[in-house]
Amino acid sequence: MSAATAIGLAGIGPAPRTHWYSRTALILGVSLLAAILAAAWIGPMLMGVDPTEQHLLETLQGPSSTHLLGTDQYGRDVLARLLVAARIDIAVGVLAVVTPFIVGTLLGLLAGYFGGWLDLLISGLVNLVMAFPFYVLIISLVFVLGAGVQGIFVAVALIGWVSYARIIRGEVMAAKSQEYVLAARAAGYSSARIIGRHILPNVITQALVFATADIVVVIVGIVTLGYLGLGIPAPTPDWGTMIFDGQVFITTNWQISTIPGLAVVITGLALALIGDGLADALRPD
Amino acid sequence: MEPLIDVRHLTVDLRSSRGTVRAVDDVSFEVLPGEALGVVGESGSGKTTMLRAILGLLPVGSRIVSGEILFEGRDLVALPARQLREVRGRAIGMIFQDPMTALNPVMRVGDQIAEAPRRRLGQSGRGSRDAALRLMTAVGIADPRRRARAYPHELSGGMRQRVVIAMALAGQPRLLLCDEPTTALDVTIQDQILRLLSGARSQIGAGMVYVTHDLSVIAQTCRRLAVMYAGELVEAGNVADVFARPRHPYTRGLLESLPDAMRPGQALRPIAGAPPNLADPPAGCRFHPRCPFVQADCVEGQFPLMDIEPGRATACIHYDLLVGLPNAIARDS
Amino acid sequence: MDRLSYAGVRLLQLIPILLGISILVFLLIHLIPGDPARVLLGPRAPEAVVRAQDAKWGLDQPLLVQFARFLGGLLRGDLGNSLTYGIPAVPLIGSRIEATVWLLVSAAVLTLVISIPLATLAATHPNRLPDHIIRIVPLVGLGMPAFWLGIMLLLVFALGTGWFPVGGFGDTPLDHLRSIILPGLTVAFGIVPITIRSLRAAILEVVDADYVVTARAKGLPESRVLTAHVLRNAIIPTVTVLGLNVGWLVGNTLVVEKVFALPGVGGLMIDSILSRDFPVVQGITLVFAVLVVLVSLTTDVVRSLLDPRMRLGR
Repeated sequence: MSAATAIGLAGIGPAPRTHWYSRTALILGVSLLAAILAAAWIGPMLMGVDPTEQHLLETLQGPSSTHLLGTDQYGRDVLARLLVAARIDIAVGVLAVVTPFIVGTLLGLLAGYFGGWLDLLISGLVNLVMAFPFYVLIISLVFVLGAGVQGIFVAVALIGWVSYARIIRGEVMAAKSQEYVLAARAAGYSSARIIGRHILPNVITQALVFATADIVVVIVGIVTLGYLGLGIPAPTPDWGTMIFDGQVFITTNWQISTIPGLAVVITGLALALIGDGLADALRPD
Repeated sequence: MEPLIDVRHLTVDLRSSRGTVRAVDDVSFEVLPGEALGVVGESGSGKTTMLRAILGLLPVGSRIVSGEILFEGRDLVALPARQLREVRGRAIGMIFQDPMTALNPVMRVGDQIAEAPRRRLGQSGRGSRDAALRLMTAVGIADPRRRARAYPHELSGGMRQRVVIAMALAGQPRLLLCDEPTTALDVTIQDQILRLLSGARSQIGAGMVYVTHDLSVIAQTCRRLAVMYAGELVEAGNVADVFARPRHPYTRGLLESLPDAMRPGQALRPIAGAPPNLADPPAGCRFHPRCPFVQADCVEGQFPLMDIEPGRATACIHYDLLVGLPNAIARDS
Repeated sequence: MDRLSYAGVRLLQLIPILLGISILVFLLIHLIPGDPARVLLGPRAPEAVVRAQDAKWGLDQPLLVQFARFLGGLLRGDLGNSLTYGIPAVPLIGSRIEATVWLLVSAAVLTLVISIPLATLAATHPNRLPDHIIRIVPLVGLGMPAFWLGIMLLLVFALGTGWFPVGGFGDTPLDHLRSIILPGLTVAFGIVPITIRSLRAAILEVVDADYVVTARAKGLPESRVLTAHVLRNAIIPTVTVLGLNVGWLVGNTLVVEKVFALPGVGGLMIDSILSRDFPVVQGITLVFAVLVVLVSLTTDVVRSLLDPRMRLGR
């Protein structure tokens, strides 16, 4: 799902929700995410299994007491691979979003606050970028930069900033006419100070909410690249490559392809709950 | 004569962001067939809610807490949804305040007028269309055939309100409920619309409940009036009588605050203070914090409407303080 | 501005967009390390042969010359020849468009068929059980990789129950229909969370509107109120949202085509990137860009048809 799509998910329209929803969503989301992170970082240590170690005598085993999720075609423990893959995929998701967040927020602030030709320029750029299909760019970039995380980082940085710019620009334009901004301008504060100290803290929340959805989008992106063989190279485990590898054995060991996908979904669910709860809690009533 | 509609002790709770609010508190009145009753009150007095409650058109989360609404003998509150729907549009028609929002923006006005007769009364497409054109002519829309194909945003405010009136009349109702239909219009158009309403009403012999905050409009259209304040009725009687001899300080205040066309330049005399927060109304008489005639015993207790003469009622226990005061509306005549 | 001239203006705007995108794509492709001739001839072919092949393809010319040729060809409607297949790129892409169009159309139809009833159900019972269940859909859908969903659908409905073929496109239109359902569903499920959310929010807003109260006051049956008044108005912002997300919709078909082995433009794209087939990659990127702009134009026109208040153009 593209970043632009995630805009659709972050705060569309008023929804008559009661307060318990945002609290429940936040609590659920945070606990779920905490559980996932704990499993990913501590789990493999507890298991004491090397996910890259091949045991060619134990290939394609079903779930058992030694291998909770069975083994893949190289005899590697599926559960261990799953948990280690979580580290990479989630870390990439979070890190990749940092650049577009900063760049997009900055551009959005400038476009929204100053307007005029600056706004025209930035908005024009936004429109051009939005016409470009995300996956096409990613796949192309991956070949320029080689398989692996660089492709995703660059692609997300090039395209992802657009959504943040649009959100922030909208919020800034709305905030510009608010009283606290007018008061600050009347007091003669410099633009930089008004933007940085007064407007930014108020508008950043929407961008943060969107960022939670964006992280999920990036994770899905890198997993998809992995599936296409354009992602993190073997033998580092990655949910995407696991799904691809398991496809061949889908009739006999369906868990190899199914479980990693579920892992992505659950991680996405946790982040979406957090984003949802945040959006609700921060929505001015 | 049997009343056309007899509202008894109607109480309605509204759900708002501040919790539940009692928007209508123990309101009772009746309207005879063919008669026009005006209900006057400021915004927030509960008059719109009361009107909506009659047809069961309250927003989600709001409900009728208690009371009866006897229409031609049947209690609308107790009526199951299907039968209530049959009353709507057919026996009781409603005219809304803002014609811009009351009309579906993506549907042609002719279709909107013809919709109820077509879907509800089972008239044919052609038959309902012809009926709609006739109605449009009756409400004074020139060139109805062309106008019927227009969308609401393509018409002027006065024209839109005529459409709304035509919609309400389409079912040949016996009772018209009007929610400030001229408030959103130019003063010059207001007069035309009011005349139109009166004419249409007398033609089909329908009764009317006309809700507004504008006393001068009431004078033009209704024979009897009721005054509403903070969800309660505080006075009722003939229009002429109430205007000449108000028997409640709030009514008097309203009359006094009318600008006097005969003496332009004279300072306006609005009622001091502001309407109460219905989520937390004052104890005792709800008007007492703003009342120039307030007494010690006004601050506690309930003050329902009491009959003081045949056809005259007030909620003020000290109405005698108002007897004999000079006319609230200073007129030369 | 009437619809025809508006459409004309928008199509004219295609030109600068296409120019910008073709420059971008050209630069991108030619920065890719790896030589198509080498890919074609294999790692053991002698250097001289590879260079001769490059020359044959005109790949040894300076970049500007190549770009000029590319632009010239573009104006003639000629995208060059596929390096892998040796045939002109345009008919190659053309032969694969059919499957992709089938996929897009079926995805759009399925999206509407799924979203409208679910969103209506959720909005008419706000904060009750159906609403809560339906609200989970966007939360789960956000993190669901399309290709994985496709594999799961294949697992259950093709391999499992045998109702649908395990990939491929078939020969007859009936075959096409059967083959396109699962992939169409996969793409649709990507958009359905968005449309459900947007439509649900729109319905909730509309349901409080005065004209809905008017409709009820006329005594209309609830079904009529819902269709002619509520949905008819609530669908408008949803069409806008759909239009905004079209770029993603089109891009997602890439992966889905791979999973279901559909002979569409997306699969061709991936293969072409893998084999460094420049002309085809350029061509398909341009095709995608055109598609996105066309769909965006269509949504705008559809919106103006649905909403008589909307003025097209400035």
